[in-house]
Amino acid sequence: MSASPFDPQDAAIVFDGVFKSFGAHKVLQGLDLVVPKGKCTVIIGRSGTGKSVTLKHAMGLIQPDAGRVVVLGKDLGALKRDELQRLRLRFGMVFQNAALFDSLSVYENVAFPLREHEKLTEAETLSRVEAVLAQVGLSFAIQKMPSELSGGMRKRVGLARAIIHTPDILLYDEPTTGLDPILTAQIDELIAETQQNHPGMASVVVSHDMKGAFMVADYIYMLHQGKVVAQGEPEHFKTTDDPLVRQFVEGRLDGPIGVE
Amino acid sequence: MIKRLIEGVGAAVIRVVERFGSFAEIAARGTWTLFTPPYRPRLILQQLEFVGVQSLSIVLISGFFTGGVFALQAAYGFGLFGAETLTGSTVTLSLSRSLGPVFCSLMVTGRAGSAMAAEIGTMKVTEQIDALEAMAVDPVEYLVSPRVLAGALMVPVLSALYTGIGMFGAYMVSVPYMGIDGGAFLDRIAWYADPEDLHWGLVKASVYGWLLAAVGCWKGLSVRGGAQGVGQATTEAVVVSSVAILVLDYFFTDVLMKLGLLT
Repeated sequence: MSASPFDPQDAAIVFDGVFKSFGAHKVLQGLDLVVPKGKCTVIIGRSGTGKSVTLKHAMGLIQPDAGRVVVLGKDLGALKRDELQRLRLRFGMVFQNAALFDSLSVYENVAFPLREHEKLTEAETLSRVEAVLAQVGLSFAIQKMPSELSGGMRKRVGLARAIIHTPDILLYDEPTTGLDPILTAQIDELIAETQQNHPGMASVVVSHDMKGAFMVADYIYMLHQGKVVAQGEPEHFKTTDDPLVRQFVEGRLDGPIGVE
Repeated sequence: MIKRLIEGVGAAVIRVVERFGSFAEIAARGTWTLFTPPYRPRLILQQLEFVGVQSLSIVLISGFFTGGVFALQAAYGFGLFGAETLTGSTVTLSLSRSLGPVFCSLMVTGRAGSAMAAEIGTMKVTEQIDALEAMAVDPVEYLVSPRVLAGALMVPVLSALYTGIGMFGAYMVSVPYMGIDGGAFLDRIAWYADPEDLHWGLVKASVYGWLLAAVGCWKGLSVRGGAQGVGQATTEAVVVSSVAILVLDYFFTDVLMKLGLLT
């Protein structure tokens, strides 16, 4: 496996030998990974290989058992609670099932980060929410409640909420899981558009959808058994002979990746 | 064999200490953050309405019948030696000192404490708690603080209403139904019951209200797994709060009496 071509000193996120277990279940086993600024990085791997746990480490929602996570030059393990809170303001996160607040309307959900952290008038908040909902094509749903939305719409609202405060790092946790192929393509296109509209932003997409990964990624890491087993540009993943990658990309049952 | 026994006991002790520690941390931080910005009047009003106004009917109905059944039993007992007129004062003292705060808190635990555990637990399993943290909002400050404040403020109010409606229930059963003299019934209440009785009852109710909300939030935030975990947390919130309120009430009353604050 070749080393990452990105400079860790100027990276958005660096994982340096990260280990994490939950009870007897070892999830991350020496993860080394560099997420560059201004690019879309996709982390692929089978379910249960620690992709979502990796994202939660990046935000400091989970602490590693060993190793370091460095975000925008700051070692998360050395930060106090309020410093970590301030750093989190520079993130946006799109959760697997959107994680919208059930008791709040679409407008209130999307306005939430602004109301918490920026002193804006109601008119300014409304115009920012309308602009970002227009970007995800959901202007008509502004007064709806999350329970009235389909899965794809919820994810788009989740994306609107994540980008409303123009974060430096945008994390997507399996953004297309559970969607039909057309909605999947729509969300993938939205991810690519969002990256184009925010050129300085680092995006990290955790996924096991290879078609989407090839569409949005500038760089891909493949995780297996809690560490990086392959990395490179999408073209590399299309052409490599690495049997691990080939089995995953082609979705074959036979190969070095065991199927329980 | 002995080694395994010691290990088992040790593990159980560690588990209890860990759980108490996590409860103490959430309860203390949930209370402390009430005094630090950001202040959240809208969320506090919502919780005051949820804990207070929405518990009103259940508290009034149960209070009326608690007073009624208590009067029924007391009047029968006192009637054995011709002292039925003491029914009112006995019911009043019991309700205002202990039964009002305790029973009222148990009713609110069943209605609001369980709902807090279920709501926060559901937020946990659907990653809404993670979403709060991801948006740099402290879930304890956002979710726990308004709830513990609402518990501490509204349960005493409900408890006072519970005691009042309980006295009314006792009057209705004793006077019109059982034929006890109304003037003597009220006169004995004025003779034996002091404002101090109600005062300490309200202090207790405030503590129990804080406690039941803190336990509900703690159980909700501790949920693991899916729907089953939420169900388990809800049940545990009710069981832990109820037992804690009953045990605490005994020691609270004992200490107040020993200090001469209640006679």
